[in-house]
Amino acid sequence: MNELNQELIVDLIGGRLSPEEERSALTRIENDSDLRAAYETQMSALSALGASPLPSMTPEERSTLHAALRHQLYLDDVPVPVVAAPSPWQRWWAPLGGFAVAAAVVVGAVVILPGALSQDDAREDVAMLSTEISTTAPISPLADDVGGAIESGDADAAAPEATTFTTSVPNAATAEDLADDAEAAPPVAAEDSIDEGASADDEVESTTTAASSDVVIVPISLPHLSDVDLDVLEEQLASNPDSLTGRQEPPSAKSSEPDASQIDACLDSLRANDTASSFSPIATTTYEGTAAVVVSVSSLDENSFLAIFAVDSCLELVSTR
Amino acid sequence: MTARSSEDRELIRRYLEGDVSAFDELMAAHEDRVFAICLRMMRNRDAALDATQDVFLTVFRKADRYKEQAAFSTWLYRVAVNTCYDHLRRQQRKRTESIPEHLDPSDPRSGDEFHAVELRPDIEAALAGLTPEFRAAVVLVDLDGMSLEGAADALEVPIGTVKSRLFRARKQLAKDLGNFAPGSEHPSGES
Repeated sequence: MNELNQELIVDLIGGRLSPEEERSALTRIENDSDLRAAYETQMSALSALGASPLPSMTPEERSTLHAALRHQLYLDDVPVPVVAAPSPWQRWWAPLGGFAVAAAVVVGAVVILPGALSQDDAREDVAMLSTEISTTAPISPLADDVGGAIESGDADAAAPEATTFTTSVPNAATAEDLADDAEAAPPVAAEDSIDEGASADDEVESTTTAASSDVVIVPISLPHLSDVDLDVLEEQLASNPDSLTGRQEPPSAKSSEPDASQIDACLDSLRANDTASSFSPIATTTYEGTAAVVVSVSSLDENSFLAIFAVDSCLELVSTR
Repeated sequence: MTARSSEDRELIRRYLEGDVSAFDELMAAHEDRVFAICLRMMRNRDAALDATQDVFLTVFRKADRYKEQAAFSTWLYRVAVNTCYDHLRRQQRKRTESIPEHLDPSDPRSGDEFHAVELRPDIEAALAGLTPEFRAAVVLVDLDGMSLEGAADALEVPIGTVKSRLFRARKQLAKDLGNFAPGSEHPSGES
């Protein structure tokens, strides 16, 4: 059966033909045994499927669904839930993070500094700040929400094997802008730190540098996994989002250390090529001898998946898609 | 633009502005249809509920990224189908895709499970034999009553592909249900 005849039958059954086309089609079917058999087969399947009622939820199922959604979307507690709602993947990398809080601490420092110094002095000091501000802050599950490209670091950022790379905070144009914005902008991430997946007791060390360039540069550390099976990792993270926390495995002898700047460039490239998706690094690894980075990808219409990208070429090597 | 479509856009706008009642209205308008799609795709009520929950989580969390060029329902059903594909893929990794013994239509114990899906057991078993892509086409068009254009949008494939999948899926169903017309080609021999 060629495609045209298939489409003809589907269109005929679907009532998509004009009266004239329909008459012609029926005549053809009448005179062609193959067409007729195919048509009857289609009709018999439809007849079997026909008139099945629309399945519906029981009141209990409906109630459970609504309660779960309201809880996960914070509709029970927060009047404006949308920007505060973390995705399932955020529950994975939230324990790896803390950057949003660190960013809030920078903003907080900008608010506090003017209290100790004069306003002008404070701005000048912040703008020239080149030393790193190291702080301990609660993990925020909302790290990914503070600007589209903010990523989370690892809870064990201090681990010596961790690969550190940088990312930038959009909307924080300059350190001086930060000072300007500090009074008006509350520490959003700290305020919104409500998530069943991240304990308020958890703490993470993040290091934040407020540079005098047009972005705030934030070093991020990733755990290194020597041998990754993405399917296993996906299930592992789904069942235990904290499973990567503090995990560090030394690169194997034959592998090369992932280059932090290349990881950074690769992520920038991925984001530039697909602005509708978010790319969040999970870990570094070595895939078939190639230095690589494990990234969780979440797009608007598709479900999230894990992928491994070669660090040097930024080519996708494998994914769970 | 249909009245439903306009209403959905307004509800999304209100939800994004923090109007929680818009959540209830959107759910009331779409949850049954989404659940029906998920149930027929997943063939299990618990799995369907999980998938339905994930669909709405995705939709509400990404509501700010909803592009109004497309109808909200089109986007919603696209998310629903993709979520079901994703859940089925995960299921498949965990076990070999086959009808479990307790779902075998010849097994009298299977009655309750099939009743839960609200299709005749033999039809449910035949649907279960289709690939997820073929099943999705049948679920959307033949069971859910969606137009071919709507199904093409939801499945993100050309309309010709939907027709081809429908044709082949129905042929497979007819064969599995014992209604294969004499003289008709064998499904596996299809181009």
